[in-house]
Amino acid sequence: MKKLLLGLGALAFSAGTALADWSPSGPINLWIGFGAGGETDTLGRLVAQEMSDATGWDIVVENKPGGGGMAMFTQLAAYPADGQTLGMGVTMPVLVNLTIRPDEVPFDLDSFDYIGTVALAQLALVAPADAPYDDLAGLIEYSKEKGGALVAFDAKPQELLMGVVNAQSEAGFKMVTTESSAEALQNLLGGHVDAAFNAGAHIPYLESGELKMIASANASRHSYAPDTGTVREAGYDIYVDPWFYIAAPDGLPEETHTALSEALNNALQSDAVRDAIEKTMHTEPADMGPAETKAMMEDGLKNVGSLFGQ
Amino acid sequence: MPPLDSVLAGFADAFTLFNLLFVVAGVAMGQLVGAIPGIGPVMAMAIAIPFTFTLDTLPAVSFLVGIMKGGLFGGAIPAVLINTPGTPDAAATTFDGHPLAAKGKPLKATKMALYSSVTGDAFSDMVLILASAPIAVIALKLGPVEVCALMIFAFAVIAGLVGDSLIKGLIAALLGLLLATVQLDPEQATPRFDFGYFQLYDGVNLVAVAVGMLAVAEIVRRMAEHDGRPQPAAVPQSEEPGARGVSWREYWGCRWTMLRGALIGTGLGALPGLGSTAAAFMSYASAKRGDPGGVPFGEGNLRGIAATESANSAVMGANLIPLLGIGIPGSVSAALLISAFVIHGIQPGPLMFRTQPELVYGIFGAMLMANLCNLIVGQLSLRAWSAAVKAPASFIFPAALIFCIAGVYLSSGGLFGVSIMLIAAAVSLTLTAVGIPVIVLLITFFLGRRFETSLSQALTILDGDPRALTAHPVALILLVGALATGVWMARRR
Amino acid sequence: MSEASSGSRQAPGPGDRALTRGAGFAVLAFAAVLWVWIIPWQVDASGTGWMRPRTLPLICAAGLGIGGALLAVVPAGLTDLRPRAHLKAAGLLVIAAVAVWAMARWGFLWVAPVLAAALVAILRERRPLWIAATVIGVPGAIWLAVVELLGRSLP
Repeated sequence: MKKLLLGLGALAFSAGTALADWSPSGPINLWIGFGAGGETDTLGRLVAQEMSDATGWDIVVENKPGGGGMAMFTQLAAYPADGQTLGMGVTMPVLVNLTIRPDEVPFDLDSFDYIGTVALAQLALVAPADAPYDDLAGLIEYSKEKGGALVAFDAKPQELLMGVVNAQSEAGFKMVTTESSAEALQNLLGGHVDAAFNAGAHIPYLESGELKMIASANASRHSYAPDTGTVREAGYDIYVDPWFYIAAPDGLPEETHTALSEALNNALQSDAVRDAIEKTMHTEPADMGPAETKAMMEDGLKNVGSLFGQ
Repeated sequence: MPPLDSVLAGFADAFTLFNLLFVVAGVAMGQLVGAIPGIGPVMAMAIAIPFTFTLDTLPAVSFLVGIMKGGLFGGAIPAVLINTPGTPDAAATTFDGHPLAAKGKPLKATKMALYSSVTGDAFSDMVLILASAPIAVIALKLGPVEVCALMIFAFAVIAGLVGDSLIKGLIAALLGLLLATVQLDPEQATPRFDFGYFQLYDGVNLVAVAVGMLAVAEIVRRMAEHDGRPQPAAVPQSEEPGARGVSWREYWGCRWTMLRGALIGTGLGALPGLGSTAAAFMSYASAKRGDPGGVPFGEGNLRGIAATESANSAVMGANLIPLLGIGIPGSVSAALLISAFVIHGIQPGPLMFRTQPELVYGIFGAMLMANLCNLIVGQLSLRAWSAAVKAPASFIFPAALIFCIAGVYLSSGGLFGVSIMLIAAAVSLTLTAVGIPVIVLLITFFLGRRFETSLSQALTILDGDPRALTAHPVALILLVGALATGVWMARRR
Repeated sequence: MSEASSGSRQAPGPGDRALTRGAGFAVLAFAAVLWVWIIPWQVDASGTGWMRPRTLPLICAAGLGIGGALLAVVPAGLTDLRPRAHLKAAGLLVIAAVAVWAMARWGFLWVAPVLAAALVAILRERRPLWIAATVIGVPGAIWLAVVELLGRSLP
């Protein structure tokens, strides 16, 4: 209720100053590819609020969950490219589906114009603090000795990444599937698995000294653990970069595209959004801009292809 | 045990006026919907969940807990007054509650139901509060192998205990499991049974199925049976002394019955999947066996009311033990509570005691408050609910159906979920007609995904070798227990 | 509710047995269709681990087949079929389905009152106050709460 009233207040007092030559003809719909309450939903609502405060546009957020955003993007691709309908999702499910089921997916990367990115999830491989290994090489060694270390994961790309490591090093990892990163963490703390993937929830346990970080699974090291190397640095040319991004149907007029991108970029500069991203995802806002986002998606598709060994 | 200061901070968070407001609102709403036959607290919770988006986590959960607890007692009101249980778990309350009302003592019967409901609930809450922190520590030591064995044990007990045929129970359980496999498989992440709908990649929506199978099916069934006549009139209240209330002596005389009911309810509630209906019947049966004499059971014995209401209310608190301990729901309402947690970005499980001790003890505080509010709101508004029981069917059922459509639209994110809800209602009506217990289907549907995942985890950890089970004695005991329960249940029939 | 009926337990009669036997055959047929046609069509055969995509669906299909066969041979338990009421219930569900389809086209605010009016007519309500409360009051209250207060959208 409090939030609701604040939101209404902010709407009423926001000054109507558009940034570029374009202004929407009615409310803009921002579709979220996930259910209410998840990370994407929390971020999307905040970004929409900030964009609307700064520009005076009326932005309506709507949840369209299903298939990790696939249901939403399928619908979005069929909408008119007038800047009135935008969609926010995460790269990984989209890229994985485009890689393994291209014929069943009714859109491709060119079906969209990219407004920008919101943040990058920092994916880490972690282990109990008292484990007899400190890095990926150590874990591989341990796995060979033990006849297969158990590694918990909660999304397909993580399993594929370890599959690539497995193939190259013959470590013999046994992958344990979990429903959520909390469950992976629970199994790690209970001593039921030897290592687990996690994207943020593990940080308090790094601080309390119960867990240690083995590697970053992203293309780069993590801001909170600059001394831990990436899987790539360990000699395996593979990474997983889940980006949160916003897209619109392909064919936006030039000035519409610019106006929307600028509005997103400005929103991400705000303290409220920065705080929220730090709190929910333990990372910081990162907007690459439209052109870079599109390039990132194309690189990402190639990378996911190599994850699947294609 | 979490540090004492966060326990206290949690209780302090709960005991605020703001929170009290939501608890009272929840309890009142729960008692009201419980009192109206055909729409129960499950539907009210499912519809309330999207309305709690904008709240903070604690008031949101407090509100939902209030509805759950209010519904525990609300269902007894029409059971006593018009011989129709408001919720399935109050079915056994009609046995003695209605005969007592027919003797001109409806107020006495409803008050006895209220007091024993609150007593059973308080007992269960205390067990939850005292036991859950140690259980969470143990639960962390329960690995996938043990969780998988626990679920097999629970399935055996559910299929054996509910309904009147083991084979029909088994069919219902397998249908639920099958329905749970409609989504990406846990190991390969390939879509299953999606029939071209991306919406099904994440599975069939839980709220849509629960509301469809329980609420919409019941609403439609009652509308179909409605013959235009008004509800049966409630019996008038007699004015003789002792007919309006329950004396302390009468209450105290039921203490062992209520304790037994509370123990049965708490015990069954702590097992994932066992509902309050089973507990109520079991408690009633055992109270009847152990009756010292006096008024015969079935003719308005206060002990009959005390036995059922203490047992079905004691289930609720204990239901949160598996929820907070291992993160799996103990009942349909607990499953809805989990979805509310997830909406607020919280994954229920033993780690909650580490990461959010304030929230956990805040919820415990809210439960105690809800219990007290149940007593007070119940005392004050008995007459109002008695009037609600008499609201015309032509208002209640169309309104409830429209509420279901709007609520499922909001919580499942679209008309696709609403369509699922209607299909679920049709399936539920068909299965009920041939005597296949829908509630078993729902429970295995809720637990199915977790079961498949933990089976996959267990097989990976064991390397598929059953001999490796010897390293997991707890799992071994549970599996033997499941087998023994199955055999015992089959022979008992 | 089936659960509630287990309280007043009677012995199953010949009608129960015939219906249960029919249900057994239906479950058996469903299991066969599932095994032969739906699972191969809808579920990937791929996979390497212990639990492949098809493992649990196939186990369920097999179990349903066995359960259905058992029920057909030894029909046990009670049933609760009331042809008139069940037909009417099916009709009501069809009305609701049509209303949901119409909501996708014309929106909640227009269709919900029509649905309410249809149901009120079927239930033969004559008092104008109750009719107004159901037809205008309920959809209006939901609309106000959801759209105006919560800022969420309805169809």
